[in-house]
Amino acid sequence: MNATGNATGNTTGNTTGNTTVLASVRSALRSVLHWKPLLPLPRRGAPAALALLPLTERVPAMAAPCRMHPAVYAIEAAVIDWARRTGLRADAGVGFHRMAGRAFAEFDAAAAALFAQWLTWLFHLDDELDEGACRLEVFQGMLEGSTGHPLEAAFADLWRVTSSRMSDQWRRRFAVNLQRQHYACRTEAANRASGAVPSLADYPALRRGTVGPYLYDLVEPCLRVEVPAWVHRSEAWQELVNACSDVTAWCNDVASRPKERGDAHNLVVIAGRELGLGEREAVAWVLDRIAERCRDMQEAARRLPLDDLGPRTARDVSKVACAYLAAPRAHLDWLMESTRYS
Amino acid sequence: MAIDLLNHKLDRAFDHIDAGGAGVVAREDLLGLGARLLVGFGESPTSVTGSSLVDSFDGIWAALSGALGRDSDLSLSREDFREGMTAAFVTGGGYDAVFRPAAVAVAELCDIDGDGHVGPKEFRTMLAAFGTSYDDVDEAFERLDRSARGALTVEELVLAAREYYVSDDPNAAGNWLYGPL
Repeated sequence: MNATGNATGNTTGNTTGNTTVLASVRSALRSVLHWKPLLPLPRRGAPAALALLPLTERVPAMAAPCRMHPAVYAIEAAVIDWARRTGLRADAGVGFHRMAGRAFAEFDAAAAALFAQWLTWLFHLDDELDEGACRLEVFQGMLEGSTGHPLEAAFADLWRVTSSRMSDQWRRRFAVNLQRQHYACRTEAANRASGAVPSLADYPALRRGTVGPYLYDLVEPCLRVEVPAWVHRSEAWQELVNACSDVTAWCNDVASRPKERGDAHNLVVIAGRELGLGEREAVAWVLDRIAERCRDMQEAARRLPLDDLGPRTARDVSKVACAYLAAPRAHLDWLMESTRYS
Repeated sequence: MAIDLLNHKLDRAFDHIDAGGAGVVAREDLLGLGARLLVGFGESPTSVTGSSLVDSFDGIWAALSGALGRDSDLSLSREDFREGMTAAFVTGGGYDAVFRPAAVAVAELCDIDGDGHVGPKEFRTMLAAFGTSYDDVDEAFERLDRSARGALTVEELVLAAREYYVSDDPNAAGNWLYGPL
């Protein structure tokens, strides 16, 4: 392992550090694949997402529509081409190229394409588990470069491109966040089995886990930058990421809320139960919490220690932070689009 | 000579964008400056102010590239930048339509409470994004705050930007926008 944690493609260099990280990622992925859902997809065609529209008037940070990347069609083509090359079924219906095209509108098309490919991979993974056809064995050789199954080939391709840009510290962070998802999904499954309902106090942290925290880590390799470890560990950065995750997850909960109070792992459902609210009131309560978390994001961004960084690093860190700041509206635009195109 | 003053200011402007000292700047470097400004104020690119800033910075880049007859995907050297800025905004007529909106967007970003004024603290946050050294900020503020009110109006900041980027007057207060030249 490079002592400075330099993000060089070190496929043939010191293998001890790399093997440890790969083993961690492999182990975490295996664990995670027992559980689902992996991706917070809204139910297709649900008008429930329309309940989020007031946020565009209440929350200044969500007032302006996201720009769409001018090369969105090239991004779509890159995703379809990549899916075909790795053997995945190309599915333009979900429109991850449009989600990525908004989140990375100011950056080069390759950045958006890579993120869209990761989202597509997760979508197909979730799909496979849903249909029950995917057995865990498929992924045993994944990180060793096996390409027998399309999902293995796709992951191997993405991991090769993504991880080679990043330091071992980043790779470990990705692995840790996979493990976080495993723990969260395991807790969720145990709750479902026992009929336990998470409390309002416990739910946010649980949901941050189930949503896949490593999605936020992927912004850096897509932008070809890396946030210094000390910045990443800072209270302000952690709060920025957590608040961003909460806003997008809770918006997704509003958009995905079940018609009956079936699944308890939804903030609207939990608020309704714990606070004795009807559905409309519970949705309004969740919108209030979303608005509060958007303000928390703003405050956290202001506290980032940018003045303690060199100019180039401060710009790089700012690009990642801006992607998080734009994510709530990018996600909302995608949810609205999903209701129209599904 | 006056043209040397303007070229000197444009060189400094190039350095504001070229944070890494690469000697060339691309569209994403200008947008990176925009990102640094936004994050300093905790502003999202998807707020009204934020999207206005991003759009206007993109407009500047398009005008710069256009003035040079270049594709907007290409990088510009220091000489290209100077030539493009001069052609687009100094001798060309594009300042009011293209550059001024960016100056307004940045000034409004600094006006955190929307009262039309920018205080020393907000001014310092802005200048930190451009790379002005800590010790130069107070003097820059005092030079711009000609009536010594302790605050700049948004309009004064916008005017200072015009003086900086277009004027060859060595006595223009706007020359001090980013600190001593």
